[in-house]
Amino acid sequence: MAKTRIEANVQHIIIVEGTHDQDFLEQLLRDNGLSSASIQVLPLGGKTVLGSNLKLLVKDPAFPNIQSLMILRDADSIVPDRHEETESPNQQVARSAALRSMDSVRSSLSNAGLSVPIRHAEFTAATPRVGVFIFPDGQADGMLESLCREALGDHEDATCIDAFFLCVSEKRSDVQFSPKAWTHAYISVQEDPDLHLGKAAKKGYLPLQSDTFGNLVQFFRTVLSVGAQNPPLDAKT
Amino acid sequence: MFSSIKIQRFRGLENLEISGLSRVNLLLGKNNAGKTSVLEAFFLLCGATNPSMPNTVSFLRGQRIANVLPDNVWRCLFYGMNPNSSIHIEGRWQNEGRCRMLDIKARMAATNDALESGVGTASCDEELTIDSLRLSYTDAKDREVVTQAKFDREHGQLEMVPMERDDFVRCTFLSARSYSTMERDARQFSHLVRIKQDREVVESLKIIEPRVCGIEVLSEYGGSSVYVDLGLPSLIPLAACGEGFVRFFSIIVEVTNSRQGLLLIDEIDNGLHYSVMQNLWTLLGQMCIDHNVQIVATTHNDELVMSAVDSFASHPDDFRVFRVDRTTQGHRSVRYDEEDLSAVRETQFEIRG
Repeated sequence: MAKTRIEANVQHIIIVEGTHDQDFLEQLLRDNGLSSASIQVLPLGGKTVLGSNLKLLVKDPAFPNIQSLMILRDADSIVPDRHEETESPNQQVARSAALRSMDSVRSSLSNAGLSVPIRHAEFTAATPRVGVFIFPDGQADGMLESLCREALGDHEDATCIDAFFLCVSEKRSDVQFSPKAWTHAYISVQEDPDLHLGKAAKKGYLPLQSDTFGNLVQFFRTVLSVGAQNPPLDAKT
Repeated sequence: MFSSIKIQRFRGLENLEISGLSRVNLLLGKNNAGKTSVLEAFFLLCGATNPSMPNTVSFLRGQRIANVLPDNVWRCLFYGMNPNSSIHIEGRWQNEGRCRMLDIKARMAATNDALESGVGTASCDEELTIDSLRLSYTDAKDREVVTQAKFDREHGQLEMVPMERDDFVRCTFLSARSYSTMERDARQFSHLVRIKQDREVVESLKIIEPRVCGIEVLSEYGGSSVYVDLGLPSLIPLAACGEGFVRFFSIIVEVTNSRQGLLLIDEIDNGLHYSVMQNLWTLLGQMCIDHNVQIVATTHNDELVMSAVDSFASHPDDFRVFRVDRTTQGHRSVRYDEEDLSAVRETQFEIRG
């Protein structure tokens, strides 16, 4: 098994949870003209280990070369990080899943000694610049697959898949299907039916140039297209 | 135990500080990062009132001072090969209020200051070479001891007179490039026989070779040699055993003999099979506690690091991992504590640099 490390010449790091997300993001960058040897997508494990893994990341000998760090997280039910005090159920209900995800990542960043952005999709000014993108949009509950479902809304298969889930829901009223289930159902009717999200993206089953991914792509462009037209947002002030 | 060390202008290290040292410490880093230099700095500091120590660390690297000017050997000790920049090493020992400090300065002299005998030629050379090394040691109570290693040009000899000190710490350096001599192995093991600790070594060696049932020191050919009893009709010379076995023997014997002291091991995994590493750490961890020994060792071996993480999981405060990085801004040390190492185990993060 290959070890996790920052590759030579990398200046920008995108942190995702797993290798499926890694495959998806690498293809999304390619399809939107952002792929470069200076960008590395790193799967750093689930939410429970983000804090400790960020601490390891900053100790990597190549970390001083890093100009920007982008962390992508789902806004689904979040597990408190190791460093985060467990909230009472009432506190958790009071805040949206997106806000709790954002706060969890902020806590992990702070514990790793990194600069902390205040809001979703904004970058800090310090080096490395740090930004956090909470799927699907920093407000609603959801996940990466929420964007995929939205992007596939006009696909000819979409109405069939909607009908399928409607049919099942009518028979099993206790079950609520997630965007993840919908996306997997969509992939399962493609030519190669047993792919995970990342491989499906690489296979071209997902419209990664869709406007649905526009905010995410713009988030990357903020730091990947270096220039005066993108002044840093100082989230620390 | 040392809790920290600061090294300035020594070999390739312009300025490096390592803090938070524990009972057992592993140094990682790329080739030529300066790991061995860190071990040498510890060794020089422990032997700071013995002016032969600079020659000893050079000898361990294969550099030998013959009856010629020691300049080539001594110059390598100084950062950038520049003897005008004095070496500074300081370390904090246990709970002492101040650091122990060693400064090494070179004294320069002209190379050709006389006619070469029997030759009707003389030259005026601007080149200066190192004539002597001045070692200035200051202990934690601010007492200074100064010694000197001086090359006697007339007789082609080094003059070195060690001085006593009150805060002596036994320190042993196991080099990566060569192993103990038969004489040293025999001497060290004989000492353990005298203090009735030889059985501990025999039992420990069973980790590598379960057939070991005894170790004997035999006199032969005017010297002494270590023999291993594997239950065969005759004893086997230690030198005839495998490289890993000999390495393991040296480590175990030196730990047992280093009570209250410091053991430096360069490339500790040399010759060792991965399957013994977990047991090696379990054994070394316990021996270091029992004998109050501190170990600082270097390695490139990931399996060795991970087996150590597992072995010290029940007493993680006794184990630390450090990496020495050479960056464009100089050297830096990175420490991995208990939480880091636990995460490394889960995520397979590369920490060797």
